[in-house]
Amino acid sequence: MKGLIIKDLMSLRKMRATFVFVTVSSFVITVMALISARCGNIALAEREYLAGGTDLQMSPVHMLWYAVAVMVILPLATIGDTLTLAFEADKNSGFEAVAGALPLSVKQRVTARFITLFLTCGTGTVISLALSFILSLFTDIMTLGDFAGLVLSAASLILIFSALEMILIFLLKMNNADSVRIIALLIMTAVFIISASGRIIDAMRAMKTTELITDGLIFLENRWFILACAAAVCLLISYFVSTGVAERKRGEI
Amino acid sequence: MDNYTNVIELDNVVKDYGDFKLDNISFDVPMGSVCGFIGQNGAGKTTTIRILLDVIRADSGEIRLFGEDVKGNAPRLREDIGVVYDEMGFHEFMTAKDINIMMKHIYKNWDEKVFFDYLKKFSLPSKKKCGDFSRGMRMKLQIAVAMSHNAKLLVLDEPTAGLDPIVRNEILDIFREFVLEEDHSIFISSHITGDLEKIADEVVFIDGGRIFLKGNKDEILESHGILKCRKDELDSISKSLIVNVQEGAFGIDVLINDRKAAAKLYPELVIDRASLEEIMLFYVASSRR
Repeated sequence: MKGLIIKDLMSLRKMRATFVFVTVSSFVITVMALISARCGNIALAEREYLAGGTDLQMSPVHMLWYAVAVMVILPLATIGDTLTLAFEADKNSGFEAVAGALPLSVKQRVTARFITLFLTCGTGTVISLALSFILSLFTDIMTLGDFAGLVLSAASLILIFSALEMILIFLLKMNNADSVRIIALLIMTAVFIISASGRIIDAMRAMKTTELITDGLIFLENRWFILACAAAVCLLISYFVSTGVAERKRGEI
Repeated sequence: MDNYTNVIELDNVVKDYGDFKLDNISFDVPMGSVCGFIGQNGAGKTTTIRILLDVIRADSGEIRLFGEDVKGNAPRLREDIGVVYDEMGFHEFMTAKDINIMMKHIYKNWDEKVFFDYLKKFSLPSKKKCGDFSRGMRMKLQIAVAMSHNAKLLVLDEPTAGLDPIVRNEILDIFREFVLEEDHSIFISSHITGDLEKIADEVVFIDGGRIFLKGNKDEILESHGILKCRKDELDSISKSLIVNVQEGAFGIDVLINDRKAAAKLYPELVIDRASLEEIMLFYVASSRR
């Protein structure tokens, strides 16, 4: 099983390069923006806004908070594709035939894929948390707890997305990676809209869409454990469904 | 000492896909032998191989490897099996070194020294991406992998298809060397009957999901023959000897299943030896009549 995980990690080399590039870039941009908020142009704009010398609808620091949140989530988003990339790599090379002849059970093969997902997502989370710690030293806009909450929420969302992808790949025998990604995203979006429909309608009626974003960010920063629990449930369901289906449809997937 | 005589035993195996059915397949591969599995494309060779490796489950029937039922034991039994497909199956970005790292964490008996020795023997670079390998090199890489974990059985699915005669001969030599060990066996599927004629001890013919002939290769070649006659002579030939008849420009070719008996009964007629390919073609045409 360890061999399959190693193979999956090798096939994700491209993703690793993207992750490093996005992480370094977003880290550098965020540090520069935070320094600017302390003693640069953003700090000047904030002072002007507070003095009422500008017609901006929102405080520059508040806008910066949105941007920093996106920058913190961005690196993790690049590893959201781990599963489909690994499946695609196997499919393109015809590795399924080789895997079927290896001294491994179907369950071990599915488990290996989940472990690969945990390893990539775990590594991404740890790196993002470490960078968040550094970022928290540069600003008062967000505490380390806020940064960590955002990172853990993003990691949980990625795990939920991957759990959905896994079910789509196994249960629906979907071979097209793009369809898998789109359907998983649509399901998550639908769940979000349904669960927050009241808030969304209220914000739309009051023409205060930014409040919706602010509420969303506050939720991600402080209620990450709700998403983490949802991710754990989704992953458990996904694992049992995937192993069951893979065993039943052995040779086809 | 291993307490089995057949490395592969298939007993009344059925797999029904609706549009294709493996219909009561039964055959054995004795330990220490090379068994050729002959059939044209789509005859059911790969499906049979996938069933015997437990990659897919049969609808009914029994499959035993090394004397043990594959159900529930397949992953353990596959430790002793090296598999080579007609397509490589390894990721194109992987080098032989990468494959070694992967395989040594999969096979308990993986021997990296043996693997790198094979790479050297086959002149395969260890640091070059296998996506850049030629077809012959890819096959050799698969063979190196299949033979580097002390496998007792090689299962080869069309390993020589699409290769030039020189590489094909090289590969057959490797297989010959492998079966020098008395507990080593090979199950090789191919539609290139010439290769099997060179290497196989036993042969199993399959067409349309059914086994139509099996046995010792030499005995099959010895017993079968192509009798040449005119149209008017055909009626005098015993029907029990005739497998199938093919009309040619200069007369009629009749595949007979008992060459010695035919030679005694019809000494005036010419009876040539039949090749495995001719035997396959006559039987296939006969079953489709």
